[in-house]
Amino acid sequence: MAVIDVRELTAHYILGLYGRKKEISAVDNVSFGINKNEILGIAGESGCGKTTLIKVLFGMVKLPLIVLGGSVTYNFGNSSIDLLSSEASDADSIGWQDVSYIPQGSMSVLNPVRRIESTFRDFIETNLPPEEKDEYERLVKDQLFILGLPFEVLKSYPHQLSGGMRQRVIIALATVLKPRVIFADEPSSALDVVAQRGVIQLLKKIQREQQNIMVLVSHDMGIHANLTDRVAIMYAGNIVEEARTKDIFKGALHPYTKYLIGSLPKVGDKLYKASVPGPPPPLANPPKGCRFHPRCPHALDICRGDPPMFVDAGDGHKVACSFVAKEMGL
Amino acid sequence: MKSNTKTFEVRDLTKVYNIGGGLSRSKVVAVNRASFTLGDRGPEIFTLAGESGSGKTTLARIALGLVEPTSGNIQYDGKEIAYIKGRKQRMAFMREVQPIFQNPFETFNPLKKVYTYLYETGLNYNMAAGKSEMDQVIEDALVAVGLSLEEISGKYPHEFSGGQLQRSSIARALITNPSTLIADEPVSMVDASMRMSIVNLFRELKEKRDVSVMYITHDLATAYYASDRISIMLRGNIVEMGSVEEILDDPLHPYTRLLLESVPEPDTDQKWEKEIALSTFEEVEYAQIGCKFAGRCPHVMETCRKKAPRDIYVDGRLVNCYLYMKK
Amino acid sequence: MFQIIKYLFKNDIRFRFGFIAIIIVIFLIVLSFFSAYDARERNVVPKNLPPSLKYYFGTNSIGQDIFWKLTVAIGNSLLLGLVASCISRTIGLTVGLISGYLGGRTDRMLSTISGSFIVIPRLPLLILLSFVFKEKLSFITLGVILGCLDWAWPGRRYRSQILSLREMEFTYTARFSGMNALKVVSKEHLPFLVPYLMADLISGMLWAIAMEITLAVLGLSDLMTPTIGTMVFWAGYYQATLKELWWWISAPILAAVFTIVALYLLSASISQYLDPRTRLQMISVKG
Repeated sequence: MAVIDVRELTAHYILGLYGRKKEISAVDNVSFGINKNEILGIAGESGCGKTTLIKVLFGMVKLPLIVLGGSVTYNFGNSSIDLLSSEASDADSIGWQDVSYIPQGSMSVLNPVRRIESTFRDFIETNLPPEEKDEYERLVKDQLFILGLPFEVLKSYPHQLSGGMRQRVIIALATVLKPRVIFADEPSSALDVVAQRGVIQLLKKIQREQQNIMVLVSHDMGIHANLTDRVAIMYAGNIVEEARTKDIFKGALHPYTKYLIGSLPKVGDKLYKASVPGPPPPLANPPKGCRFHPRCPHALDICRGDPPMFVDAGDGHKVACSFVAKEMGL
Repeated sequence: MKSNTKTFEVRDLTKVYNIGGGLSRSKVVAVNRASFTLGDRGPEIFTLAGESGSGKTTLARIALGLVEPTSGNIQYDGKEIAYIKGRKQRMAFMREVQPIFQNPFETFNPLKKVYTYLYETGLNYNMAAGKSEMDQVIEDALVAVGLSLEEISGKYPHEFSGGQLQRSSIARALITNPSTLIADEPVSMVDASMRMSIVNLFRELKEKRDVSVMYITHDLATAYYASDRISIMLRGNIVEMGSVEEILDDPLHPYTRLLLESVPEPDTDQKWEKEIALSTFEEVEYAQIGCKFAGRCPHVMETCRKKAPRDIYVDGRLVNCYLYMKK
Repeated sequence: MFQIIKYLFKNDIRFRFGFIAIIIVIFLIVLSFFSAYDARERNVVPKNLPPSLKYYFGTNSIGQDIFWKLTVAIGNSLLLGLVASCISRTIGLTVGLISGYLGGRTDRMLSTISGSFIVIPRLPLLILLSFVFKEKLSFITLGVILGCLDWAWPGRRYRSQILSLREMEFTYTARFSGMNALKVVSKEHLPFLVPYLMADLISGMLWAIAMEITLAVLGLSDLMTPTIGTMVFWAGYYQATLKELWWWISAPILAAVFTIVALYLLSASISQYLDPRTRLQMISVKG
């Protein structure tokens, strides 16, 4: 059974200023499941809704974001907790020991006037029951050791560390209590290429050590190739394809995914590569039917009116595309 | 077709920033004795590649005349850029050399329509006589980047997607018929799926309009795809320079090798294997005497830490590393 | 323009309040031209009468109708405020823009000058000037002097705005588009300054009015001209509170508070509306 089960999740932003209203359909009818000991990647470009999806999965639903429908269920062992249920106690029972979140741009999150060790201490003491408070030193040293981070960072101030080191410290902090689920939103996008590699390798190490679930949101397909087990491709608020990472890169089925993979440049390759044609869709007024149809070379009549057909191509490979359904004779 | 042979000649260009004041002053050498030429053998796409703090952006700003160098020469068409004073000279320079900035949404004033910039450029450089001729000039520039006047007319920057807006920025730069574009990370803020259309555009501009591009980036994949020559920068120094196929297919400098290895390939067969050493404290590297890579280099020797290596030429390319010094 | 007013009226309660209040004030000022009495004349009506249907705000010990005098007084005070504010903000804007955009030696020189003006202790200086010039200090002259004393801080604010705008990428784009310094400042930067200017203009008026009241209450300005300040002065001079002529002292004070609050509300709502960030949000909600 999936540890995190998402069913038909729909979430919109309702914006209003000086009497004008606008509704942005950021997440539309999204369903998927995340299994134990798995790194799931959520890929997509800016404005596809991936950050919104992560926020809802983590339970950070604040105005102007509203969940219009669907469910997010956490199945930890014996208990099933519906995160979005109206009973507040349910959601509160999931704390930082279970689910951890690394937001975008989090390198700037560290308090600049405190040493790293103080930040660690605060975090651990706030989240552990009082009896275990003194465990902090042992936990931190263990964590740094396992992750291969030098102990000298503890005594430093954030500005003394390089950007890549700060990010890794944040990740160490967010995972020091060995959470069951880690959400990472673009954990390395602000970093240089070499620092980025360090961060991604660190995440991999943590997941192997702690055997937990990791959900990684990134627009960089190279990171997905290197880190994730499965990838879900998002476009304009929908998940258009979901498969094992290898299958996405070697055998993508959805036209958008094919374009995306095909347009990625590689060192050593000077052959002509094309972009996806046309402009990205406005989420305030998304196209009817399949949201990709205005830019799709294979758009059928049915694509313009009805939402795309859902295809299970076997082996965990799922596609939402009427054209693919037709090709497969469904 | 008019052949633009205007070239950039950079020799020993150095820029030093003094930080702090009073009792605690320190120096940051942002660019250290950079030397190269651009466009001397016809229009080309020349990449300045490096991570943040490598000095590539500072160098671009010096090339645009926005920052004054501390020492060394940088000449365009035989004239020293730092000595360009007075409106007439400045306009003549800007006519030939135009910038493309990283963030298209910051390139334009959010309160003004995008068209106004194209119009102003055409107006101030006398590119047309009357309004209809001007609109034609603007239309030509827009068509060259894959847009049209109808598409952009009346719209504010936020009404465009990143890719479209960046293309508008390039169109604006093309109105004066420049010989060189200095593009600072032009695609890093554009979505992956739109990126290639802009990179392809640079290739097209070079081939069809004889425009050279100084392409500043940290993305080696697009650099390989688009450029002819590349120079790798580390903490202000050019550590390797040559044709892009040579350098990236067969890197010699240990830092270039590290960079290449760290690029996450969109290919599941090429995952990272071994772990790498990362720098902990940033200032330490900057302040390093000798080779700036000595702190992380797997082949570091005693001399590396004492004195910076000199430029060494290996098979037509430049490498700045003791490993290749002939005894 | 009208659309903006209609729009703000509908959606911003502060604007509604402030706008109505200012309309009332302007109405009163217009009324002043139809006053049956010359506000400077004495003994035109019976003295010390409380508010009634004939004398709306009552009469004072000098034998003047307070209501009609007040209409003139508000007009004069506002006029003084307007003169002072326009002068100070014009000087401040010019100095700030030049200083901020050109930088270098010009900036240093102008900043030194503005710094000198900032440290001038204005109230003591004004008191001194009032002593020296006593009756010759007409209230318009006072407005001009106030204007010349109040430009430095606003100038600094505009300068710092320009300093940050100057480094924005679109300023570079404008320069590479061939725009000269004047065009860049007026077309690229000024639109960002307009909200500050609007709010600043009104805050300048408020300062000038307050200064005038202060000087008048101390008996240092031209006491024969009816302004809010001088009305308060005369009420004090004739010991209105001791004689329980509450209407005499409260009328100008209430009028001052009313006008100042109205101006403040207007400025806050207009400047929020004009703030580029709000405009951007609105544009993105619309589009």
